[in-house]
Amino acid sequence: MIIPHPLLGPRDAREFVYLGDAALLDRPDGLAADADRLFHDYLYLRDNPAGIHRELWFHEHGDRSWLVVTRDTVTHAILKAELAGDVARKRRANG
Amino acid sequence: MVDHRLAPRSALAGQTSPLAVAGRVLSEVAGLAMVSVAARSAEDAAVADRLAVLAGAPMPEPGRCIGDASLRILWTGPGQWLAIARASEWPGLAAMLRDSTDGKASVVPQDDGWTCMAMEGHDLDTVLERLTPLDTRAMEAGHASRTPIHHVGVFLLCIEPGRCAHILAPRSYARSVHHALADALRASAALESMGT
Amino acid sequence: MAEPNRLDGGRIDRASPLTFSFDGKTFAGYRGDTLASALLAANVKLVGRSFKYHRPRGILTAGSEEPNALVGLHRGARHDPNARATTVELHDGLVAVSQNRWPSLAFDVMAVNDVLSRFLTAGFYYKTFMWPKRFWEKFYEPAIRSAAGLGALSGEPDPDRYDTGFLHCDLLVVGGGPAGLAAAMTAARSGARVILADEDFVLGGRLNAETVTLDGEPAAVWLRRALDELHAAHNVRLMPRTSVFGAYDHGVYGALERVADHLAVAPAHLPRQVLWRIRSRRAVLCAGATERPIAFANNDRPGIMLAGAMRAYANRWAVAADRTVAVFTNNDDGHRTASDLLARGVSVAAVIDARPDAHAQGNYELHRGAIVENTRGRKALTSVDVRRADGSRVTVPCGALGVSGGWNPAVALTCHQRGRPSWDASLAAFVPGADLPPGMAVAGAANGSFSTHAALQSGADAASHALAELGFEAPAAALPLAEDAPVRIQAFWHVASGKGRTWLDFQNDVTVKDVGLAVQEGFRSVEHVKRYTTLGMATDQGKLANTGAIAALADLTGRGMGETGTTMFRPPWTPVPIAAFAGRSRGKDFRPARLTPSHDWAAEQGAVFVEAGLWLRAQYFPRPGETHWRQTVDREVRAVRQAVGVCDVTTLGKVDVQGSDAAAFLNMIYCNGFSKLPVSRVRYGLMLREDGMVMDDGTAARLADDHFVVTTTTANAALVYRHMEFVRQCLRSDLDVQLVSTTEAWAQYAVAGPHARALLAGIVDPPFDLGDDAFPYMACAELTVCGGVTARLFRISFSGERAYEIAVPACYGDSLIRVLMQAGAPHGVTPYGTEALGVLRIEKGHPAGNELNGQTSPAHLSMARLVSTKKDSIGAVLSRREGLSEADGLRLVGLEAMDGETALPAGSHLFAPGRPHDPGHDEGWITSAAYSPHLGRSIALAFLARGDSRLGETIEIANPLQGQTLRATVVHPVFIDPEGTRLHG
Repeated sequence: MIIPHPLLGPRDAREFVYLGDAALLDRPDGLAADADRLFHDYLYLRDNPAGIHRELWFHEHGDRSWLVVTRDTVTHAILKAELAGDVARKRRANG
Repeated sequence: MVDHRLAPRSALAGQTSPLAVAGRVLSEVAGLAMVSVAARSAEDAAVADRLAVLAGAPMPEPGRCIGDASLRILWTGPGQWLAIARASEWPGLAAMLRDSTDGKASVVPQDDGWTCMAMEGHDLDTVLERLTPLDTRAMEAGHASRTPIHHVGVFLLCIEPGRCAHILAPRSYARSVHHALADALRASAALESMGT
Repeated sequence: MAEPNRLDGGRIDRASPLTFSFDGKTFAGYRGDTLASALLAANVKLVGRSFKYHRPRGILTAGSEEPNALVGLHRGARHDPNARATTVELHDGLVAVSQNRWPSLAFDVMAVNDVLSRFLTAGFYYKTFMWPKRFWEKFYEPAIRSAAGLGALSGEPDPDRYDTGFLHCDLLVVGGGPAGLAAAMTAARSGARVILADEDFVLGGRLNAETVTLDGEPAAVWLRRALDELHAAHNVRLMPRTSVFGAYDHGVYGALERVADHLAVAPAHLPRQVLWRIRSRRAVLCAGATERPIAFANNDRPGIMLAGAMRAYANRWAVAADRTVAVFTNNDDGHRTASDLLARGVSVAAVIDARPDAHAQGNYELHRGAIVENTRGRKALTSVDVRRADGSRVTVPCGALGVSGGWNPAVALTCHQRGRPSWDASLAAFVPGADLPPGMAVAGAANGSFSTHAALQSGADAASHALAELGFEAPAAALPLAEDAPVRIQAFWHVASGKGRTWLDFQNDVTVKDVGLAVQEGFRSVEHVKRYTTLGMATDQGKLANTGAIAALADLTGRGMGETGTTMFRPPWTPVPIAAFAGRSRGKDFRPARLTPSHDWAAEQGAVFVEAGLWLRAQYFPRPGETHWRQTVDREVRAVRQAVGVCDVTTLGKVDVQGSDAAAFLNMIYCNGFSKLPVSRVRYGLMLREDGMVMDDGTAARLADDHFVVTTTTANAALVYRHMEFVRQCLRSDLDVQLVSTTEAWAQYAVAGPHARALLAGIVDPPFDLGDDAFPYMACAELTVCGGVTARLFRISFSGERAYEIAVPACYGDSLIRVLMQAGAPHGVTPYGTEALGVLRIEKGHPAGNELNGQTSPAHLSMARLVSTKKDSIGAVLSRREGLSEADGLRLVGLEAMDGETALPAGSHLFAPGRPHDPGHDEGWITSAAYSPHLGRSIALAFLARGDSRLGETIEIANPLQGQTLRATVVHPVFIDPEGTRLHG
């Protein structure tokens, strides 16, 4: 599999380590009143789509960037790859 | 108190170095100082500017390096660079970088954290294609990238396409990487001796 | 005569004669022969015995689809089973043996299976060997195991080298026949980077096997010119002897190059085979087509082969399958064999064409609308029984029969990404379906373009189109004039009349009747029929059998060919040795070895090393006279507690954490607090996973307000760094913090014991004050040692003794350990390894990897109070959930063996005395165990339910794997100095 790194171009998947669903970016507030339930959902409830999936990859043998990769789990086609840091900052800016 | 002195020692001590195989040579580039520079929040551009002043050239794009054997600077990540210099020509490099970036960057000495090996000769791509998933035939002078060679994350620098490449291996892996490079040199030499 | 069947001409090098042996007998051949062609030339018809029934078998094809002629090559450790004689490039001195027969090919005892065949039909595995039940393990299974399989492994390590590599191109052309050559030539002229791969050892594909002309000249002339052009093009890489075996995601193709298999003697260091990962932007599949047979009774006798193969042997290798041949066909192509062989002086006894309207293409007897009903000749064909259109029968004597049931485009690679081929009734063949792997086009016979002209044209067109998509200008190459015969075929799959078994899968011995049996038993899906009958599951993966089986199945279930469909195609197309996948990652080179800065010094001391992940660490340092590791380790442990010891701890992960929000970042990744840690102090850090389990522990040393050095365990260094970057980039991108891994940059040694300070005083440069007031327990500092070398000093202890860790730049690591030994000599310094390191920390009750195995929470470790409630941190919330923090949960305890010396096995489970040893009564398990020289007995750390309220109890330890039951006393986990006075000096 080839992952199109936004800065470095197409790179062999063996340079990367996979973490999981990009939903992991939406970490709840640990001090919230119902943190228990929020963290349980965050960690254990997951969609498992046959189709478009946003997921987190770490470029371990590369620039050590975390990427959010949009990939079709059926065809394996990769539609997009963004720096996770950029995605996180955008989310923060949008509140 | 007895006077104890410390002497530096290469990670490749005891290995055949330089190693010559059928017109290609693998040798260690010793005496290097290495320093990581990571820009602090929102200071990427400012740090790049200051480093450019020190290096005498703008900072490299992703997948590139600038400079020469005296001082090279590699792009290692967003807002991150690795400076590699001849220690004798750049004494106190870390301090120099700290001063020049003036609190806008985190500067971390990496001396000897990496072992630098130079592969020189003809048609190096026939050797490198056995080692790295990078498209080395498309690399030009100044292209530099991290890549796995036999499960080890190394930096590969194209110094002169097809004729000179530098491989930086993490120190603890240096002998294993040297072994892998030597094996590839021998396999390529054997292939070439067949005259296909 | 040595080669009774050799003809004139052919594309072999008669100036290079060779000798080889088969089953101990010596034969002659030429360079350019395959093992199969040379055996046929010598009139060797019998080359193997079939898998199940041990029927005599001969050479069936001229390519990699061969099911019968499987031989073992080479002697000794290099013995290579199941090699297809049809693709073995003959070299001088080649040694080959037949397989699956005992004692010999000619007389095979196991042929008794053939006699018992009616009891061994498809699916018999599921119905026999069931009773009595206990016989399965003792008798049936071992018997089946020794009878199973075709070839045999040598049982010795493979002495050859293999390699892996990576190639990149704009256009990958798979197949070097007319389509592939036209594609490559078109692409070459555009300047694009081209790779042309073909599994054969000469390029040209069927141009080498046919008598077609190109521009009015023999094909060999144009072929020579084309290859010269491609060889000269610097942007073209020609790869003969290379099978492209798989089409993977994103334009990645797997290819196996046989570099040295054809060499009698290979240069040292040359890998025998190379496994290439080819990344191509576009690909054109020009893999051609494989012929399929028609099935009839006793269609498996030696001498019966594919018609196309028969003429390939004649045209390319100048070998007649026999001096008298016949042909059985359902299409025009079969007639080409007859006319080609006639032209070479071979006698063609008859052509039997199933089509009533067939036309002869030469001066031979033609039986229209006729079928072959049976054959004779057990070890070599002697005659075939023909039933003519009018119902009359005639026996045709012949030594070889060429069978042509049509041609199957080689579509496999088009289906490696879940695609399926589609049925083309006009060609009576499966052709590539609509869903091709992205970037792949198909040309030539692989696409159903069977004529030479169509192959050339489609190859050039496909390349042009692909290159245009990439932005290359590809001027159309001038293609030679070539034949453009239409396909004339009438689908005909097997002969229903005739007595005798009608074989579909030659390798797994599956007949038409077996397919019927599967349907009878209710297996109607082609995937079920495959598994029930094992058709298509052998090393040839049913290349010759599948279509005939689908036809039989379609017939029996009243469906069309398209509706019945094919089974799923998966890589590899042809077998790939496991060694090729491994490449250089074998034996000592399986994984890289990471060496510490003191490695060479430790080796000089005679240290015994242990693998800790990829690291080699000194485990213990035996002294002369010590015969058992316990002697050494006990001595090292005592030396640390009584004097001073030095241990290399470089392997622990080190991360440099800087930035104005460095402390806030540490507060996030550790469950305990770091904002208030003063500069020049170190603190223990407990790192949780988000689910509340302990992930790792370590220390964080504050060198400045905005500068920390974090350590991790050796095993988790990479994992923790990855996690820290995740938190930094993804969860807390608001923080100003930067991370740099510095594990490699610093050599670090633990100096532990009552004399540790005295030792260090000998190397620390003045004016640094090592006094306990200036540098108390948990202090850290940047300083210089040995006359100006940068160093860092941390006063932390894993052993429970007064201890320090000293770090210098890695290049000084070797030198420093030697200096420490010198400086420590007056203080009784002892080097100690990981074994003593472990004993010391177990005595001190420090959790390590065994206790932090991902199943344990802070509460289990009695560290729940460490999890701050005042801040958010990774894992804090879920560490407090009921299941992980209940009052009667597991707690870390110590165990002291009642019978002092007997080791308490780590991994054993704990039970209240007298309770049954079953999961219902399980109360915990032992995590770490050691012999404590200090206490003079075996001790352990364990997790025990409600452990902290059970001190003093007797507990039973069960080790059922070794049939052991022991008893121990539950104690506080800190066996030594629980008040910690030794730490503070």
